[in-house]
Amino acid sequence: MTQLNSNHVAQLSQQQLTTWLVNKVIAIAKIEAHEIDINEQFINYGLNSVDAVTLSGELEDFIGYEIPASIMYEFSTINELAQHLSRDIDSPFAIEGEK
Amino acid sequence: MPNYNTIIDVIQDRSKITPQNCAYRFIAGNGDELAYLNYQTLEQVSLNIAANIQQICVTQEKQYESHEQQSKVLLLFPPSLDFITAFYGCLLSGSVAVPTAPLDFMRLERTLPRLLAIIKNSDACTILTTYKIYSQIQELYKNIDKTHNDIGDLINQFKISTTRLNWILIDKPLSDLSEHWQAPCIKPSDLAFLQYTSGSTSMPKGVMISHKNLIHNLEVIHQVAQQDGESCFVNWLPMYHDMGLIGSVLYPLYVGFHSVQMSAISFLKKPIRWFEVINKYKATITAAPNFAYELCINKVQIDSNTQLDLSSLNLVLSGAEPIRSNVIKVFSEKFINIGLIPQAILPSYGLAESTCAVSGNMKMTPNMFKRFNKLCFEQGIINILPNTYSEKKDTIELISCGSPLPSVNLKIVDPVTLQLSELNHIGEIWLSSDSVANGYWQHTAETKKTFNQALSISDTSEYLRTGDLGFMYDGQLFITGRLKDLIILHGLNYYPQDIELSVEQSHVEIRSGCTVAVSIDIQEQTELYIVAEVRAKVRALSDEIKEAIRRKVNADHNIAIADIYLIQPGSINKTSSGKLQRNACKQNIISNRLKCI
Repeated sequence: MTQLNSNHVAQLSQQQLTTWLVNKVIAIAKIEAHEIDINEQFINYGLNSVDAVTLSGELEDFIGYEIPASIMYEFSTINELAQHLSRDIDSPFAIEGEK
Repeated sequence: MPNYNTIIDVIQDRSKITPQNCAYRFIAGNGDELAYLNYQTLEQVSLNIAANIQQICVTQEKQYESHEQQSKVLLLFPPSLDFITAFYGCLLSGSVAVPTAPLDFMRLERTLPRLLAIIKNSDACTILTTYKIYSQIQELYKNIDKTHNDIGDLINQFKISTTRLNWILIDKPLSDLSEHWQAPCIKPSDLAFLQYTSGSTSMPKGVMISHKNLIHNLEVIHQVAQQDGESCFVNWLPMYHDMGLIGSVLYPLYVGFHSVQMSAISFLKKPIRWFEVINKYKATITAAPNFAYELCINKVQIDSNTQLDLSSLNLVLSGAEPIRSNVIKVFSEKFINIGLIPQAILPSYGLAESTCAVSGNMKMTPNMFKRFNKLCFEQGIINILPNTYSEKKDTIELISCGSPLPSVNLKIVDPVTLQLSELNHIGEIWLSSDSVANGYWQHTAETKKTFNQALSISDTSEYLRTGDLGFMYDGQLFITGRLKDLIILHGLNYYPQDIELSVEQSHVEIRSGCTVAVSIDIQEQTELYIVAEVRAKVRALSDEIKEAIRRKVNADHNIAIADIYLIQPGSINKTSSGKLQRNACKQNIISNRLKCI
């Protein structure tokens, strides 16, 4: 069965998360990188709720731990989501300088 | 199968004949088994829920004289086996189950209005739910003042409409009342549940499914699906959905085989989990809509050293959505190397108004793929082309949804004259069988329009108008589209999906899958309108894009467009699973509410 690899709980920076999310939104919305605004709502790039759930699954693989399927509604822009996830990881490990 | 009168007979029979056999399992996203029920526990748990319902809200009748006398009980559950025991609990109490989609607390503005409308329309007297959902709802009530205005109003309305209801939390240990359970006097014509169809949010329509409808549909499904006691159904479709409920919950019970459930979210997050659970439990049958097969094509990567084996599957059903022949082909080619049997993948046709299933085959055969002459097709006439015919431009390829199930009387009817269509003509699908429901609960006018159609003086049957267009060829049913979406220009029929495809191909800045073609009648003239999402920041190109659309649509279909609206990405009307809502889009054109660039 698909297990989340606990060794893969990497300390991803907000920048890494942003880059990953930007690439995903480019692929789903079929737009160019320069057209992305990280403060734009996901929904305005045409992401429907099936996209949002599948993307939350791929994001789990990337960050290495489980997140709610509704995370893209709670944090509805690339910036908010990347910020939230980088904090989320930083706190239990208390990594300095990874803000 | 034996002659069952009601689902109550089936539940009791299973528990008597094979008490220790596995009835249902629930699997978490990580593959862990979260819950397990054998037939004996299934009956015991459901019976106690039934006794609790009876104590609160069921007046025991010698016989129910009308559907109004049966209590309506709302089911509000996350995907879990609790839904199943609650559903059977309702039936065993003699009341009518009303399954609903679980509330999405992150998106109340979307999910709460529908639930509210269902509570109002159904006349439910009781809500069955879990302690967790109940607490979340109480939490909402507490925070009304802090909530955004619109949503606060919604929550307030919800609070008011639920105060008169009884709540039964089935995971708080219920008092053991099973001794007091009284076998209800249920006739086959009494209701088992209300299946609310997707329809509009403001006016949800609950199809009244009787025990007789259910038993009939289960029996005809069984005559074609032919599963046995050793079979296994793996399902992630929501259980409040007709295909999930009838196919994966009731059908396995009816035959006495085991059903493995997982949540739709767990599938959508990682589609390969569907295959993993099939592999683990050696599933023989599974079902999903077209979009899920497409998702698997795009997202599931099979390693060369994989242990996955899908060869246990003898029935992989595609239904509940228009089926693309290409998706079926690519899906079967992609996964043949992990044992998927191409003949097992079967398109089917059905609708809640006819309980669930209407047509389907036992095995996929090459003659289910057919190519037709496009020019004739536009005139509503079927002209088959040999499979060797290579000119793609003039052809339309369709995949059959199988033959009508046994004892289903299916007619192709001219939607204008309401007379039988001529041979080899496309028409509306009309149905008459014991699976066809009695109508929509408390919607007399809609019921009359949809369910009570006479065809001719010599034919005494009442027919259900499905609203779907199609034709029969070689004993096989082909579906071509929805009647209300059909675009009729100068006497020729155009299907929106064909025109939309041309629009998408006309210019690179047009986003695929985000285009709508509709016809609008203005001053007795029907004209074609196009709405298309374009990529961000292309306003400077809008004249060029519109010109490209006109040219391509004219070249492909020889029709002119009245007007084109280029709109912002993400602004076209779609359902939560990504289906285009053409009628909503049309209303937005008329009322000038499109988000044009």
